[in-house]
Amino acid sequence: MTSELDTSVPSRRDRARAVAYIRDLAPAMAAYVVAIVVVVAWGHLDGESPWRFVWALLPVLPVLGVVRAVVRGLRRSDEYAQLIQLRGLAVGFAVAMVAYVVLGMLTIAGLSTPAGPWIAFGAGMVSWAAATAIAAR
Amino acid sequence: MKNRIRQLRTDRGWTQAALADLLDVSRQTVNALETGRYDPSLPLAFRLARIFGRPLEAIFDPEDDQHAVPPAR
Repeated sequence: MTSELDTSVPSRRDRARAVAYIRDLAPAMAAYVVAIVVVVAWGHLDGESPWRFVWALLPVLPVLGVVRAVVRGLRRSDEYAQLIQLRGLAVGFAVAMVAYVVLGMLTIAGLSTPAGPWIAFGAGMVSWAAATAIAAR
Repeated sequence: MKNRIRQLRTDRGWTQAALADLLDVSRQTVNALETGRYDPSLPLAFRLARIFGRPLEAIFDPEDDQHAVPPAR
Protein backbone atom coordinates (compact mmCIF):
# COMPACT_ATOMS: atom_id res chain seq x y z
CA MET A 1 0.00 0.00 0.00
CA THR A 2 2.71 2.40 1.02
CA SER A 3 4.77 1.75 -2.12
CA GLU A 4 1.71 2.41 -4.28
CA LEU A 5 1.32 5.75 -2.53
CA ASP A 6 5.00 6.64 -3.02
CA THR A 7 5.10 6.55 -6.81
CA SER A 8 7.09 9.24 -8.58
CA VAL A 9 4.11 10.32 -10.66
CA PRO A 10 4.11 14.14 -10.75
CA SER A 11 1.20 16.03 -9.24
CA ARG A 12 -1.30 18.02 -11.30
CA ARG A 13 0.40 21.24 -10.24
CA ASP A 14 3.82 19.80 -11.24
CA ARG A 15 2.48 19.15 -14.73
CA ALA A 16 0.81 22.58 -14.90
CA ARG A 17 4.07 24.27 -13.91
CA ALA A 18 6.02 22.25 -16.47
CA VAL A 19 3.56 23.15 -19.24
CA ALA A 20 3.67 26.84 -18.29
CA TYR A 21 7.48 26.77 -18.31
CA ILE A 22 7.61 25.12 -21.73
CA ARG A 23 5.09 27.64 -23.06
CA ASP A 24 7.38 30.46 -21.92
CA LEU A 25 10.64 28.82 -22.97
CA ALA A 26 9.83 27.19 -26.31
CA PRO A 27 9.05 30.39 -28.32
CA ALA A 28 12.17 32.10 -26.95
CA MET A 29 14.39 29.13 -27.79
CA ALA A 30 12.87 28.82 -31.26
CA ALA A 31 13.42 32.54 -31.87
CA TYR A 32 17.01 32.16 -30.66
CA VAL A 33 17.71 29.32 -33.10
CA VAL A 34 16.14 31.30 -35.96
CA ALA A 35 18.17 34.39 -35.02
CA ILE A 36 21.42 32.40 -34.93
CA VAL A 37 20.71 30.86 -38.36
CA VAL A 38 19.77 34.25 -39.86
CA VAL A 39 22.80 36.01 -38.39
CA VAL A 40 25.26 33.32 -39.46
CA ALA A 41 23.74 32.97 -42.95
CA TRP A 42 23.09 36.62 -43.81
CA GLY A 43 24.75 38.72 -41.13
CA HIS A 44 28.15 39.06 -42.89
CA LEU A 45 29.78 39.20 -39.47
CA ASP A 46 33.22 38.97 -41.09
CA GLY A 47 32.48 41.94 -43.39
CA GLU A 48 33.28 45.63 -43.02
CA SER A 49 29.81 47.10 -42.51
CA PRO A 50 29.22 48.69 -39.10
CA TRP A 51 25.78 47.06 -39.19
CA ARG A 52 27.48 43.71 -38.51
CA PHE A 53 27.60 44.70 -34.83
CA VAL A 54 23.82 45.12 -34.78
CA TRP A 55 23.43 41.76 -36.53
CA ALA A 56 25.79 40.13 -34.04
CA LEU A 57 23.59 41.30 -31.15
CA LEU A 58 20.32 40.13 -32.72
CA PRO A 59 20.32 36.71 -30.93
CA VAL A 60 20.54 38.53 -27.58
CA LEU A 61 16.88 39.59 -27.89
CA PRO A 62 15.45 36.05 -27.73
CA VAL A 63 17.98 35.22 -24.99
CA LEU A 64 16.20 37.88 -22.91
CA GLY A 65 13.04 35.85 -23.51
CA VAL A 66 14.84 32.75 -22.18
CA VAL A 67 15.87 34.69 -19.07
CA ARG A 68 12.23 35.79 -18.62
CA ALA A 69 11.08 32.17 -18.89
CA VAL A 70 13.62 31.02 -16.29
CA VAL A 71 12.69 33.82 -13.87
CA ARG A 72 8.94 33.15 -14.27
CA GLY A 73 9.58 29.42 -13.79
CA LEU A 74 11.51 30.18 -10.61
CA ARG A 75 8.68 32.37 -9.29
CA ARG A 76 6.17 29.59 -9.95
CA SER A 77 8.32 27.10 -8.02
CA ASP A 78 7.75 26.26 -4.38
CA GLU A 79 10.23 27.06 -1.60
CA TYR A 80 12.22 23.80 -1.84
CA ALA A 81 12.55 24.01 -5.64
CA GLN A 82 13.71 27.63 -5.30
CA LEU A 83 16.34 26.55 -2.76
CA ILE A 84 17.66 23.88 -5.13
CA GLN A 85 17.73 26.35 -8.02
CA LEU A 86 19.51 28.92 -5.85
CA ARG A 87 22.22 26.40 -4.94
CA GLY A 88 22.68 25.48 -8.59
CA LEU A 89 22.77 29.10 -9.70
CA ALA A 90 25.31 29.97 -6.99
CA VAL A 91 27.69 27.23 -8.16
CA GLY A 92 27.16 28.11 -11.83
CA PHE A 93 27.79 31.81 -11.16
CA ALA A 94 30.93 31.08 -9.13
CA VAL A 95 32.35 28.74 -11.80
CA ALA A 96 31.62 31.26 -14.57
CA MET A 97 33.28 34.08 -12.61
CA VAL A 98 36.37 31.98 -11.86
CA ALA A 99 36.55 30.97 -15.54
CA TYR A 100 36.38 34.65 -16.58
CA VAL A 101 39.18 35.56 -14.14
CA VAL A 102 41.35 32.67 -15.38
CA LEU A 103 40.76 33.57 -19.03
CA GLY A 104 41.29 37.28 -18.28
CA MET A 105 44.62 36.63 -16.57
CA LEU A 106 45.75 34.35 -19.40
CA THR A 107 44.79 37.05 -21.91
CA ILE A 108 46.82 39.64 -19.97
CA ALA A 109 49.75 37.21 -20.04
CA GLY A 110 49.51 37.16 -23.83
CA LEU A 111 47.54 33.98 -24.50
CA SER A 112 44.98 34.63 -27.22
CA THR A 113 41.61 33.12 -26.23
CA PRO A 114 39.03 34.28 -28.79
CA ALA A 115 36.62 31.57 -27.63
CA GLY A 116 37.20 32.52 -24.00
CA PRO A 117 33.77 34.04 -23.30
CA TRP A 118 32.06 30.97 -24.76
CA ILE A 119 34.23 28.68 -22.61
CA ALA A 120 33.25 30.62 -19.48
CA PHE A 121 29.58 30.61 -20.58
CA GLY A 122 29.67 26.84 -21.14
CA ALA A 123 31.42 26.20 -17.84
CA GLY A 124 28.80 28.26 -16.00
CA MET A 125 25.86 26.58 -17.71
CA VAL A 126 27.19 23.02 -17.27
CA SER A 127 28.08 23.59 -13.61
CA TRP A 128 24.66 25.21 -13.00
CA ALA A 129 22.90 22.15 -14.42
CA ALA A 130 25.19 19.68 -12.61
CA ALA A 131 24.94 21.46 -9.25
CA THR A 132 21.14 21.68 -9.55
CA ALA A 133 20.92 17.95 -10.32
CA ILE A 134 23.17 17.09 -7.37
CA ALA A 135 21.23 19.37 -5.00
CA ALA A 136 17.95 17.75 -6.08
CA ARG A 137 19.08 14.20 -5.23
CA MET B 1 14.12 17.42 12.14
CA LYS B 2 12.08 14.20 12.22
CA ASN B 3 8.46 14.31 11.15
CA ARG B 4 5.45 12.06 10.71
CA ILE B 5 4.30 13.35 7.35
CA ARG B 6 4.68 10.02 5.53
CA GLN B 7 2.74 8.16 8.19
CA LEU B 8 -0.05 10.75 8.30
CA ARG B 9 -0.25 10.78 4.51
CA THR B 10 -0.36 7.01 4.06
CA ASP B 11 -2.90 6.70 6.90
CA ARG B 12 -5.20 8.77 4.72
CA GLY B 13 -4.38 6.80 1.57
CA TRP B 14 -2.93 9.81 -0.21
CA THR B 15 -0.16 9.67 -2.76
CA GLN B 16 2.75 12.09 -2.55
CA ALA B 17 1.33 13.82 -5.62
CA ALA B 18 -2.08 14.22 -3.96
CA LEU B 19 -0.50 15.79 -0.86
CA ALA B 20 1.64 17.99 -3.11
CA ASP B 21 -1.52 19.30 -4.78
CA LEU B 22 -3.12 20.03 -1.42
CA LEU B 23 0.00 21.89 -0.28
CA ASP B 24 0.57 23.61 -3.64
CA VAL B 25 4.13 22.29 -3.83
CA SER B 26 5.88 19.77 -6.07
CA ARG B 27 5.91 16.03 -5.39
CA GLN B 28 9.67 16.33 -5.09
CA THR B 29 9.17 18.74 -2.18
CA VAL B 30 6.83 16.33 -0.40
CA ASN B 31 9.44 13.59 -0.82
CA ALA B 32 12.18 15.87 0.56
CA LEU B 33 9.98 16.73 3.56
CA GLU B 34 9.17 13.09 4.30
CA THR B 35 12.79 11.95 4.07
CA GLY B 36 13.96 14.78 6.31
CA ARG B 37 16.14 16.34 3.62
CA TYR B 38 14.24 19.61 3.93
CA ASP B 39 12.62 21.37 6.87
CA PRO B 40 9.63 23.44 5.74
CA SER B 41 9.12 27.14 6.27
CA LEU B 42 6.69 28.15 9.00
CA PRO B 43 3.84 28.90 6.52
CA LEU B 44 4.28 25.50 4.85
CA ALA B 45 4.43 23.76 8.23
CA PHE B 46 1.15 25.41 9.21
CA ARG B 47 -0.43 24.33 5.91
CA LEU B 48 0.61 20.74 6.75
CA ALA B 49 -0.90 21.09 10.23
CA ARG B 50 -4.15 22.41 8.79
CA ILE B 51 -4.39 19.68 6.13
CA PHE B 52 -3.70 16.88 8.62
CA GLY B 53 -5.80 18.52 11.33
CA ARG B 54 -2.98 18.15 13.85
CA PRO B 55 -0.89 20.64 15.85
CA LEU B 56 2.66 21.24 14.65
CA GLU B 57 4.20 19.28 17.51
CA ALA B 58 2.16 16.22 16.49
CA ILE B 59 3.77 16.34 13.05
CA PHE B 60 7.31 17.51 13.76
CA ASP B 61 9.63 16.13 16.38
CA PRO B 62 12.37 18.56 17.45
CA GLU B 63 14.15 15.92 19.56
CA ASP B 64 16.77 15.28 16.89
CA ASP B 65 17.19 18.93 15.98
CA GLN B 66 20.76 19.86 16.90
CA HIS B 67 19.75 23.54 16.86
CA ALA B 68 16.86 23.04 19.26
CA VAL B 69 16.89 25.21 22.36
CA PRO B 70 17.09 23.05 25.50
CA PRO B 71 14.14 23.34 27.89
CA ALA B 72 14.44 25.84 30.73
CA ARG B 73 15.39 24.33 34.09
